[in-house]
Parts: sequence; structure tokens; C-alpha cells
Amino acid sequence: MTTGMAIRVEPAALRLVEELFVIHVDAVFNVAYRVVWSRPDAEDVVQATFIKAFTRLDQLKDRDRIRPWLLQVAYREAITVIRRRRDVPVDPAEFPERRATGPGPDDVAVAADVASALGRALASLSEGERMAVVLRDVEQLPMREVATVMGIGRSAAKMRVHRGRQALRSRLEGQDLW
Amino acid sequence: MVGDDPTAAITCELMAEMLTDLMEGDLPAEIEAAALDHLASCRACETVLADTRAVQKLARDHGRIELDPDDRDRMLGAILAEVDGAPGPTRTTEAE
Ligand SMILES: [Zn+2]
Repeated sequence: MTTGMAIRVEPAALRLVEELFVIHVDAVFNVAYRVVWSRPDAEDVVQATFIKAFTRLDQLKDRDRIRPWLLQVAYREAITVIRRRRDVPVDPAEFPERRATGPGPDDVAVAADVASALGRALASLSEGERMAVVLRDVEQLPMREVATVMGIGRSAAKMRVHRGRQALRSRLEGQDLW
Repeated sequence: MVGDDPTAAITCELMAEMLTDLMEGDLPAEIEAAALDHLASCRACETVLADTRAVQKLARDHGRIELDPDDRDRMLGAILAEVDGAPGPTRTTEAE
């Protein structure tokens, strides 16, 4: 996917892109990361997503539709990235769920362990189930929006959330995480 | 539901299938009531629901990868530079 062309830009448009970035960058990054499992690649997806948003600002007047639009673009872009590098296996054990922290309070280390356990469990899900859970339970999107982002119906989205959660439950139970 | 007692029709297997519908508030009222009755009297299903809610909470509280301010600045800078077309004097962009 090409990312854009040099255009003379109105300052208002730049401000809008910046505003959208501030509001949505975390969700966009997380959607991308859970597909590509690499910070640099996820950052590339974030950039491509907001640059594309800039070229479609006229379509993004409706505030309610901005988030699903952005996340759908990010999700598709991320899938394109992993298809391109199909030959490079990613080892779930290597996933840095949080920045490696130096010596710090115990609860920080515990939180990092919990996040790592969750990350490994998420990695074990099928692509579709994982994204459904990320959108519904991590990003807290309503089910209808999960469906929109994934380009499927609400029932199908709900089924993926269901299967994803139950798979996570069997994987994580007995680990003293709750 | 078939039969005169809707509660009797709720098996643990059916309960497991309906769990997400229940959590989403998607069940018809009378089925929801029967499901809640089943949960009240079935320890196994009650545990599955509680654990599923725990998974939800875990995902909400620990599922997000954090971004540092530096990460944000770097990305935003790259985006604005790209859309503004400004800083780089010879910006070559891929043709669409
Ligand atoms: Zn039961």
C-alpha cells in the first residue's frame, strides 16, 4: 500500500491529524502490534494508518466512525505486513510485553509477568480470535464496532470473542493470575 | 426452548455456549432468567463465568502495550512530515 503524496496542506488538516493521533494512537498501535508482534513494524502500521487517514479526512467527518475506520485500516495494513514476511517466524516467547524495566518495585515486575503470560496466551489464539478479543476486551470496543473493524457480522464477531476468551481461560487458568 | 420448564432445558453444555450472549446481554429475557437460575445452582458453570470475567479483566488491565512519549513523538513527527510534505526537500513518494 502506498502511503501518500506530498500535498500542500492546510494547517487545520494537520491539526486534525494530530488530534486524531493523540486520541487513537494507543488503540491503533495495539491492534497493529497484536498482528505483527514487533514494535518497529507496529509503528510503521501506525504511520501508514494516520497518513491514509489524512488522505480521507473528508470521509471522517462523522466522529463516531473514526475509530472503527482507523482500526480497520490498521488491521488490514498489519495483515499485509505479515503476509509480506511470511517466511520470518516469530517466536511468541520473545514478545516484549512491556519495555524491559530495570530494578523497580515488585508490583511492576509482577504486572510485567502477568502481561507476558497474557501476551503468550494471546499469541496462541488464531488470528481472528485474537483480534476479536483485543478489540472487545483490551480496547473495550462495543461488539458492533469489533465486527466493523474485522469486516464481519456481529454474530461472527461475537463467536470469535467467545472462542478467544474461552481459549484464553483454559490457557491461563491455574496460573494464579486471578 | 422445548418443554414446560425452561430452566430444565439449560444444560451445562448449553450454558457454556450461551455464556458470551449472556455477558453481552443478548439473551431473550426468559432465557436469561433461566440461565441465571442455572448459574445460581451450578457451581461448575458459575466458576466458568467467573473465570471468563477474570480473563476479560486481565485483558483490560494488562493487555495493552504501552507507548512511551518518545514513541509517540517519533511516530507523530514522521506522520506530520509525510502529510505536510515539508521538511525533506526532495521527498520521493511512491506513485499510486
Ligand atoms: Zn452448569
